[in-house]
Amino acid sequence: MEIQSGTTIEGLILGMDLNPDTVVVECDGQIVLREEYGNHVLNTGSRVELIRFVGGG
Amino acid sequence: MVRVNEEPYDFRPGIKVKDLIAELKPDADVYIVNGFPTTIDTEIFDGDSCWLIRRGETPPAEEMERLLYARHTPGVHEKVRNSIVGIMGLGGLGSVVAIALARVGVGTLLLADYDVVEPSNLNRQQYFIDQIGMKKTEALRENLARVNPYLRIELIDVILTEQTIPHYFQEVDVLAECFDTAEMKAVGLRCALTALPGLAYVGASGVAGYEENNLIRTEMIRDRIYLVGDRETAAQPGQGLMAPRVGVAAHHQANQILRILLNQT
Repeated sequence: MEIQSGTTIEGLILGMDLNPDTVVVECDGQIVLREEYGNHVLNTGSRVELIRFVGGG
Repeated sequence: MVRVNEEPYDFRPGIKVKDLIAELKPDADVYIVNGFPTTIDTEIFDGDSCWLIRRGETPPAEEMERLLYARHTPGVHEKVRNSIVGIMGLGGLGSVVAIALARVGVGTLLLADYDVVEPSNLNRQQYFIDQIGMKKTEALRENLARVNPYLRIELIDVILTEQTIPHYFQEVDVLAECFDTAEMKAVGLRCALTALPGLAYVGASGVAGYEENNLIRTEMIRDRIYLVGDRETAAQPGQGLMAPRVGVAAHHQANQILRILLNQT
């Protein structure tokens, strides 16, 4: 997936029209803490996995 | 040989139900032979399976154990009775998971919820009209005690957070995520992956509506980390949560928990 340079995890998630609070993120094998979404900038070649949750239980 | 309340008993030709009652359980008032209710004059034959029951009586702990594992696959009961399972959220998923695990004989349950039983919960959650207004933790403990009074149950009556979840659940064998909101589901999984390494975890996402049964699936997303649900169907206006489908997902969770406890993963 092509992204603009300087895109943060938060920006990536918002760009996909998702709520960052409902997404668990693994970036290059590390789970990213929620408070880091806004300042974690993605690099070329980063492998990002998003696990997105929907409500109901 | 015959079995009386799952215990072996030496067969003698001509014995009747009333002989068993006199010898083994004088206060019995329900008599079942090979699955059918009978009278005290019914003759017993070699190989019969008999139950002598006192209506409304709670069996003592050892007998309860024997009765529980009588219908289990051999070896299951010994393993699960020493297990500890944590359940986060006691709604349509958590209350159902708890009852399934209690019936299968999981020894210790840690039950976490801060909420009270509301009328709208009764469309899918395992509570009753006369429990409206009770804490869900207390109400569920009451209901589980009616299934098996010898379970160990610990109540965690707080609003869980990313900071407190690891503290409450570090000792469990499996942690079930049964939260209602997508935000807390994400919090739960992040805790499991960061603060509780090695923990077995069974979460859920996508359980609303009345979509097809088989869209509900159990997926292992990491070692010992499972997610149940269709991963799409959110609870939202026009797409409610209902007992059948939430129940399907809850029982996926309960069965996956049992499989983990029995090392079948």
